[in-house]
Amino acid sequence: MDPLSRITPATTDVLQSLLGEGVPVWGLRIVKQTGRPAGSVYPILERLERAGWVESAWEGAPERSGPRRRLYTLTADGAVAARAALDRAAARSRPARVAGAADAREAFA
Amino acid sequence: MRSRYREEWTADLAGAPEAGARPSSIVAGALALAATIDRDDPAVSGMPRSALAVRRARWAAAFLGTGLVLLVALYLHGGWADHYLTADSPLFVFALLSRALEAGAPVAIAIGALLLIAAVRTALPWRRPLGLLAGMAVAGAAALAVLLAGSLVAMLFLPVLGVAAWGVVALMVPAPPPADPRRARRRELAAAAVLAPAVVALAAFGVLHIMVWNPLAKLPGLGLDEIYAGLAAAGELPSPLYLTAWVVGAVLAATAILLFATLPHRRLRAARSPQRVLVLGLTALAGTGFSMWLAGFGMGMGIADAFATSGGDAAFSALLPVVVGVLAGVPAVLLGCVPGPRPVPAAS
Repeated sequence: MDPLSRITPATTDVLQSLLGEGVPVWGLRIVKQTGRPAGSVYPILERLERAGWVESAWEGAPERSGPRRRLYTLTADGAVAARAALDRAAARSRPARVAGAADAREAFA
Repeated sequence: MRSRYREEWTADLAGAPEAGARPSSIVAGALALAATIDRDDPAVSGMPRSALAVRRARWAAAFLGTGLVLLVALYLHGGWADHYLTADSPLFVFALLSRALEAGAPVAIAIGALLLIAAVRTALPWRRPLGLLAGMAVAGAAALAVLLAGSLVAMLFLPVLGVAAWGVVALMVPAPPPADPRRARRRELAAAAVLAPAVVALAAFGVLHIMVWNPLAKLPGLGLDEIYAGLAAAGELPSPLYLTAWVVGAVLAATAILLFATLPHRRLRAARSPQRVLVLGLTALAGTGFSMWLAGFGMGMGIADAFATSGGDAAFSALLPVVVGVLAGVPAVLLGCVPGPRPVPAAS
């Protein structure tokens, strides 16, 4: 598995969605859950898959006719790396929030 | 990879209402992925980087070669097109086509240059293509300058040189074994049987154009005897050397096509395919057509000096070799350079 060169907020959202599902999930469902446009989610899923964080497969025995949906899930290593990435992202945003709250308190004082 | 994403996106489009997504959003996503995906990645391309680089270089050669053929044609007949670009002209369509070529040539060369950059980027892991491309451009320009300045006589043998160049490539890279060897053999022989005589016929047409039709068209009112007597009196009878060399070159090229298609030598059998015989024949035809102007250069200048007129072509028959050059040259480049279909990756 390769490390990601950058983890954007959109990537964080996609990782969060995949971790929350825990089972293979349809790409368009990730689009809906994250609220991000497909123009962001599709390239992120491709990058995650190429880096070995995510694997995908066709849905098995679909009840619908027509083209098959592609389902994505985190690999074992990808899930570990995703949690670590989310923790880092949370740690980065925490001081900013604390500082922001302090500024707000000063403003209303 | 393409079929995978095609099916995935089609499924997403079909399921967009269920997911509460707009179809336009799916299309935008597909476009964004197509624009950002790493096409050099073997997992995406389905082939090693070296094979992908060769494939892109072949596409680059196809576009650059096509552009070059069109430029040569424009150089040779551009003046004709300017003259006949009026709606009531009998050659209006030809002139219009010429204008289209004028636009097509730089476009093809620009696409070819971009593909060449892509090929170099794919081949070189350090991704510093500009320096290398500059080096290649300088080396290519130097080789061209040497070729042009070295000897015009060499250009007279354009069909032989073209056939030799393609032949060397064919001998170095074995042809893929045909699915139906007997059918392939018939096609090889048929291609050689049509194209080799066509090369000789074009050379014969050129001789008639240079020696008979063009002098008569340039000097209306004078008979052929009077024209040649005038040339002799002025000491302007052209040396037969260039015209003879050009005809010999065309005949040699036609012979090479026949030998390539028929000799039972083991190396030749391995190098042979119907497509390659076709490429050789079309190359010889294009080379013969494009080099005719040089074979007639002496006669044109002799007439100009002896009769105080211009040295250019006046007969419509001058257009045929150029048209043949384009109609044979572009397919020769495309057939010779465009790679076959991409290998089909394992189902994923």
